[in-house]
Amino acid sequence: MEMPLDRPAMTQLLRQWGSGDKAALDELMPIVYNQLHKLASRCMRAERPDNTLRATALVHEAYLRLIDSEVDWQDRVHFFAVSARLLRRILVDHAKANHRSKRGGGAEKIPLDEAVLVGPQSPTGLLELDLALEHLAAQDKRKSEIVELLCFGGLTYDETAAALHISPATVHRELQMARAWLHRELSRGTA
Amino acid sequence: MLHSTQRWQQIESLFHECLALPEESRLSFLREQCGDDRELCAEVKALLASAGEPMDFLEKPVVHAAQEFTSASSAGLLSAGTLLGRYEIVSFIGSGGMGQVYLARDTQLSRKVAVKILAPALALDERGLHRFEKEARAASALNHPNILTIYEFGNANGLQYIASEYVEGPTLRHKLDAGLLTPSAAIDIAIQIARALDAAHVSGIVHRDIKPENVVIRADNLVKVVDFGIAKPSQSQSQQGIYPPSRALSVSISHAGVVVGSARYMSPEQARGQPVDPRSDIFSLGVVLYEMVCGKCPFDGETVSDVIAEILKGTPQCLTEILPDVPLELQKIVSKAMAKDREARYQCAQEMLADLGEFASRLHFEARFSTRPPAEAPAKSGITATTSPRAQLVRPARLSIAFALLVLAIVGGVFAIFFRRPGAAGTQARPRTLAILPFRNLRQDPSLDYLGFSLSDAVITELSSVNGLIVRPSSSIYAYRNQAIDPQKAGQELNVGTLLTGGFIKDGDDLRITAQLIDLKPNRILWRDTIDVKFDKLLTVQDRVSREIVKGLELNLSPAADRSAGAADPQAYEDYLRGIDLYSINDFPAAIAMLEKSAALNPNYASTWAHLGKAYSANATLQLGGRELYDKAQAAYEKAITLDPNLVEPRIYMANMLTDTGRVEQAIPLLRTALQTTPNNAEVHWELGYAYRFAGMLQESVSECERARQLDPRVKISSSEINAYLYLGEYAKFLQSLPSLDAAYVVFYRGLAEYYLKRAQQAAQDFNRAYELKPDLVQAKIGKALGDSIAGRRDAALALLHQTQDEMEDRGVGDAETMYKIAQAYAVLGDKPAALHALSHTVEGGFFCSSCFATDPLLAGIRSEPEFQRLSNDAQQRRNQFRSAFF
Repeated sequence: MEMPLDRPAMTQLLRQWGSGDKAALDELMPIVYNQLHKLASRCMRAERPDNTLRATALVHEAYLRLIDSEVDWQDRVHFFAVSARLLRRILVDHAKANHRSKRGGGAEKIPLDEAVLVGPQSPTGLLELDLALEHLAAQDKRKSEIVELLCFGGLTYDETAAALHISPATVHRELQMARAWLHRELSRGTA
Repeated sequence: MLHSTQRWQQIESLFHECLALPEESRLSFLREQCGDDRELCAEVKALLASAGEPMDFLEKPVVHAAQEFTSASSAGLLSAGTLLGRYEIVSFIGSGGMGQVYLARDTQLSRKVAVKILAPALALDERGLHRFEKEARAASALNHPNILTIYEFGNANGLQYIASEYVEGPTLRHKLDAGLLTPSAAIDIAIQIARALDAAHVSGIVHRDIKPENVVIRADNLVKVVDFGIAKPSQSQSQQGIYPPSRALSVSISHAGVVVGSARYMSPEQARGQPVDPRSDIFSLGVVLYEMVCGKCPFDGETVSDVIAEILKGTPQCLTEILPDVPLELQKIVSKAMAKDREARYQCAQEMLADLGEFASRLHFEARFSTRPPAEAPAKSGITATTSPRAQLVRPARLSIAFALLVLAIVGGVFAIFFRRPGAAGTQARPRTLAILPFRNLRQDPSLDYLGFSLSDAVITELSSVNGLIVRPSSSIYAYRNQAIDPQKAGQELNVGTLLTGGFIKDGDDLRITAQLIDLKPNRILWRDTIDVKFDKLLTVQDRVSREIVKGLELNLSPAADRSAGAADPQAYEDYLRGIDLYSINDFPAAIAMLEKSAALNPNYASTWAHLGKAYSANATLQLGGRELYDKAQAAYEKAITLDPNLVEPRIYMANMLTDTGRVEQAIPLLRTALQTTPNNAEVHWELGYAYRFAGMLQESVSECERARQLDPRVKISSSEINAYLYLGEYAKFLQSLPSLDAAYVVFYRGLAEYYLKRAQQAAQDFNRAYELKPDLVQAKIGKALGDSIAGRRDAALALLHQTQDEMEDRGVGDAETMYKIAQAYAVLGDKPAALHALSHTVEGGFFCSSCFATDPLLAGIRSEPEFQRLSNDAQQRRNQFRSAFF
């Protein structure tokens, strides 16, 4: 299989990003994205995109393929943080496309392989959540990152803490505020 | 609205301060802090109001929600009483991999079934449907007592469903949670799982998700492996690439909540997303066994990735370190099963079974004779050197074309010797006897092991319909496979004058076969030849070669030539050979799967249908496969006879089935006709003896069976015996008629004779051994019940009998003579109503051996009952009718 980067280089990029190098993320994103696509389209070719074959599974697999198994826990967490961001983007794009096609507009087709990642229908309220998170990010970036990791990356509190270089206690505290804020924001929208 | 950083911080710290307070004092505190900044106060108040509210996407991450969406939100539960085809919903059991599972009642057969319904949202999706069907097909091809039986795949009210056996009992997970299992219980469970895997693997199906949640343990300790929902045809069946390697990983982490649970049992190759084969299941079984023994998982972690890292890199703690009493031998089994490199693992479930079985008998032995923990027992040797022939069956080997040709070449050689002088064969005073021994695998290439037996079987089939020649059937020569053979000794044992032996070597694309025909009296070689074949060109030259052989012999071989139609499709022919091989080791479900595959590829080969019918019938009678199998068998025999009216085998097999299904009167004419064309066919005589026995013609039965054994000492040696001796009270002769084989069927009958001879302990030992060897065999179950009764476990004995009888009646299978044995066992246990009930079924089912009813000592307890007299009279009457019709 064609590898865009060797594993040690991937690990290096993750480390750079983990220690604050924003440019490293720009390099990482397309690599992980391509890998996810590749895996997803293989699933499509195999003709079985059922509900058991979705995002988290593919991310874990992408991880196994891209990252040196010797990497430490921190780096691994960073990888999942990158994936969380990617998955959010994919899911939201998909939901938007669904939304548009429901209104009869010229449906912008989601690539088939991407459909594997998101499932036949989007979870309700996804677009609203995405918008609220954007607002939250404008107000308080760290809180929105915490929610993104937990919610789109499926990370645990400990993993989230490690990804953001904060303590699990801080995650907990930040999250109290974030979820209250999001709840208010979202119920405001539906009211 | 966007706040300034300062303002945001102010809001946040007030929010947290308030949260730290008891709820009732928050508002007053907040008002006090905010003073007249009412906007701030309102903001924090609103946040506090939202603080305790549930946030779905955080409780359950969006990515998981996306995955579960289809199955979760479209779940419209079916209410009790809903009718799905013939199934009436009783209650909801739970949600499985592909949809919901219900307890239902089969309105036609009045039995409980489990019905799994494909989620409606998925049913709309063609791919989902495709997978559902695939699951049903994969699983329903498996028919094994340790595998949940699939009854039907159907579609009703727009819903797709699978109906399966309903099993009551806790899962292994529940058992593990309830506390540690004893070592012997753990081994017993592992053995049963391994048996299930073995059956599945031979059929080309890998389970892929062996874990305690997928193992159900019935009250009688019978283990059922469930959820072949993610099973797929194994890669070795040349289907590599159809499934993405990501499958295992994605399956096991597809459901939030059980994420880590499933990952723990993954093999390293699964964790890496590589293609898996049966050895992956072996790994998972190793993990399950480890957990059963010490109570903890060998590879664990808080997240899936931690678990995966452990599976890939970690070395689990030795069992002997955790529990010093654990025998080293058990540690070895577990380590071998869990080897990271699959080449270092057990290569098949059979291999692991051998070690587990040996260990279990040692445990059993030590439990009886010692209280000392067997920790320092010496390691055994030699186990790994034993190659199971079955292991090789899943490996692809495309040698069938070569076979068809070789069979013809060898048959040609034999003809050349026997029929060199025209007319010699027909005029011979005594027919020539010939045994064709399994060809030896000279280079010990295990992937070719199966060829040895199959090749000789094919030659036997070709020669068996030749007049003037008595060829020993394949069942007689099975015992000689993979052995060094002394021709004189083998000739004596098989009672033949001529022997064909040979061997083969494969080198790249070349297969070289050597064969020699030995005249045993005097000891000289009549014919010897070396046959070389290239695989790639065989298909084109095959017809030409076979014609030349026939021409060279100047023999009219038209029936045989017709039969070589089997070689027209090489894959079909290879599957046919494999099917026969599987039948010969009594693995009927696997044989069925293989022969069905062959028949689908080439439906014009009569022998395939004959063997397929035999496998259906044996699976129904001996392993309670299901009544519909008899219909399938009947259809298969008829098909075989239509295709090749000269073939004797389908008639013999059909007669056996007719007897088993209560139609002995129809079996007799069939056999007597067969005897006219092949008077020296041992199997025909044997089946006649079998039929006579059912009809109570005991002396006639004995003489037919003795004649069969004279013609061929090994005829049906591992699957039938001269029961008439038993009914005549000639126990010593009966024992003499039994071979000295350690096979379940034989050991059971030895136990029964011992029991008649009132040697209870010896009998109990044999009964237990038979059950240990093959617990799914009906006779073994009956023996187990008798063994339990000897040991004073009357309740257990009755429970097992009830269950066996229920299974027979529910499925409408099992022969009437077996029902007679159940009646005997009930009578021994003193359950008169049950004994009489079983006896009435015996007579109805076509076993009307009235004289043994009158004399059988095991029936003493019920003989004075009026009902017994009535049944006895019925039997007598039917026997008289039979006698006047045929004698």
